[in-house]
Amino acid sequence: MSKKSFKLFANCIVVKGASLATICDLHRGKIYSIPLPLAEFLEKTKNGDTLEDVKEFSLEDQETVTEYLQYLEQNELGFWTDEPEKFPDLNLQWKSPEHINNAIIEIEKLDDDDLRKITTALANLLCKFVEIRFYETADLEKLAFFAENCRSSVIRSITVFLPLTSDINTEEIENLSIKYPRIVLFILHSVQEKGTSFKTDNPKIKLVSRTIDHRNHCGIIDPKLFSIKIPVFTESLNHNSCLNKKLSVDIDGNIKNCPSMLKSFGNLKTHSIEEVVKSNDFQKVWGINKEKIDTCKDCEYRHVCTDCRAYVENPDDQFSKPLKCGYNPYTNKWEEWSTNPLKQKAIKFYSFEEFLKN
Amino acid sequence: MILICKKYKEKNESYEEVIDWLLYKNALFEFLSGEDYYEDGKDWSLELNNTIEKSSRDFTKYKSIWFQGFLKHKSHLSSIFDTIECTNNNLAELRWRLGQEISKTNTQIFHNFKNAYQLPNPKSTKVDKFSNLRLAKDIGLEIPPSIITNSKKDLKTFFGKHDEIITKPLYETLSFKEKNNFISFKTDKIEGLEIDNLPDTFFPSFFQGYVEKDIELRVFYLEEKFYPMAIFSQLDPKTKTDFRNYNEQNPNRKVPYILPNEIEEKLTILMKELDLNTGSIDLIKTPDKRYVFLEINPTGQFGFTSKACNYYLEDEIAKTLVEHGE
Ligand code: SF4
Ligand code: SF4
Repeated sequence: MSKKSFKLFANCIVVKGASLATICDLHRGKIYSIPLPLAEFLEKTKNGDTLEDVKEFSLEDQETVTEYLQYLEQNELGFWTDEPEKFPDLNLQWKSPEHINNAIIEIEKLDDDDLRKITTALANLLCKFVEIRFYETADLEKLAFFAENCRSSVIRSITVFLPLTSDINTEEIENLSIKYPRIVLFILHSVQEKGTSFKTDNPKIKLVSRTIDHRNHCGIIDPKLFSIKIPVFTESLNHNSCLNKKLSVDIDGNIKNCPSMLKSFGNLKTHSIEEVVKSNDFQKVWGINKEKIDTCKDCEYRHVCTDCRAYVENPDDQFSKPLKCGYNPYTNKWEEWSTNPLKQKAIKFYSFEEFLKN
Repeated sequence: MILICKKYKEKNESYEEVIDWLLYKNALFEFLSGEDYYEDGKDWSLELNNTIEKSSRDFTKYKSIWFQGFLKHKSHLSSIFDTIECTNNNLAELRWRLGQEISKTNTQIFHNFKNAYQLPNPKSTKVDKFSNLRLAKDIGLEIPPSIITNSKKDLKTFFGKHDEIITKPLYETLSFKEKNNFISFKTDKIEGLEIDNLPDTFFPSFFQGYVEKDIELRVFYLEEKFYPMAIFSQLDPKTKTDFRNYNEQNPNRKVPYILPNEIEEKLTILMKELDLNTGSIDLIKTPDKRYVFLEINPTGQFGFTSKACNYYLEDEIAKTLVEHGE
């Protein structure tokens, strides 16, 4: 009889961590934890003779492995074939047709001139996704001005964060959502219990009770935010999972990788955004992939996880693990990050920093 | 300069992504659509006499043309038909005649592309499934047993030989809405009982013997390069006849595949014969590893082959257009 190999579908990819592995099903967007020896076995046997290869395990383990293979087959993660060489691995190339993919704009204090500069730059840089943040007051005229100036860009979507204050003109939000189809989402934050008389069926408008009155809400690592897709996976292989091709302009007009990062590459008033973005200095963080980050490099979630370089466990070390991640890939446990005693120093550091700036 | 020919009203994500790549490469491009000629009310003319031939639009600047479509048949001129008063029969005749006039005119518009690189040549995009099967067979590719017939008797014999049969349109696969249901031209399995219920002669239709599948192959072809994708439609009964009967919860597994050289060589000959430099080719691989050619879609969707296999076909297409457009 000809040899038969058990193969995972090319878009179901094994990622090995320190003590567990995952199969990332990049097609159906699911992730499965599997033991390390099974991961190694799957890699070894994919073009070999699986039934022969199984025999290398002890009798007891053979049964377990066989059961696993059945499970993988039933869940359509893999298949048997006698022509394994006809099913190549997925090409893991990643590229994207833009100089900047996404931008975060802390818009509150910026004037029309600043906004014009930003929208021109976003158009030139072929930016696709924009996040507009209002923390304390929502200025809808400013938002409309911004959206109007984006008309000639290739922007696909604009998400807006705004506080639901008592004087907010909710009718105007509804109007803007119709007038500017590129605004795909309005997130009204800081919704108070008693101030919630505002109701809407508009699917583009979401109310959240969380207070997002400051940039430090960002950077949370949560399995719910994992994005199990080919572009995310392949981008993460060589690039930072948050900051690659990201641009931001903070509340004072500083050009940064992200509003929460301390380093500014110059102010909008004095520097050209396009020039800044081109510089090696600005793009340095783009190349910090998970293989370079402490702990993450040993984590089986590293290619579907987001990242954060603004809030890290050791603020002195730009390669340290994201502060707001509670996962330990060595013990495979998720814990609440904010109460972790080892993280208190960093937590204090960031609140201290923010306190100084306000 | 690149000219992109398409139906403006048709939304298509992979097409938009090709544009993204063109922008990224700083390529210059313009658009052309049948809507410019038949719907916008703009002046235009093509003139031919004993000394000159000229077009009101200057086509000489276009070095490369991406042909993705031109005019949507259903909607064009519909405003005229809304107000015309005549019998249904005459209306049908009129629509058909005007359709023919339009297609002749289009041929003349496309004639302007003659000195440019065309991806693909619009002349070659008129698919004739049956001729393509004949050609494929002559080249030595295996094809499903096929019949065009109006005869219940012949269909019964055909059915008897092949057990399971399907029917599909000779022209494009398509469905459109009518009041509460859809009128569709698509691939469908035909049961013995359905044949029994047919009149002795019926509207001439195209039938094929069902080919048992191990996997389906959707192969994107671009300038002699193959980008094959295997579709595991057999795992799911819902998509057994045609994987386009999509199961959203559990989409069929789609993975990159490597075609045997021999099949690639024959397909290359086929594409050359058809004067097609691009297209999507459908094949079936049978459980006993034979490759059966089904059909070619010259301007078919390539987006999901590109995404599932991470082929970046959008970039490949943009690159091809830019190379020829300079
Ligand atoms: S680096 Fe952190 S704070 Fe900055 S945008 Fe990314 S996740 Fe948010
Ligand atoms: S350790 Fe946390 S942040 Fe790092 S890859 Fe794993 S889950 Fe993501």
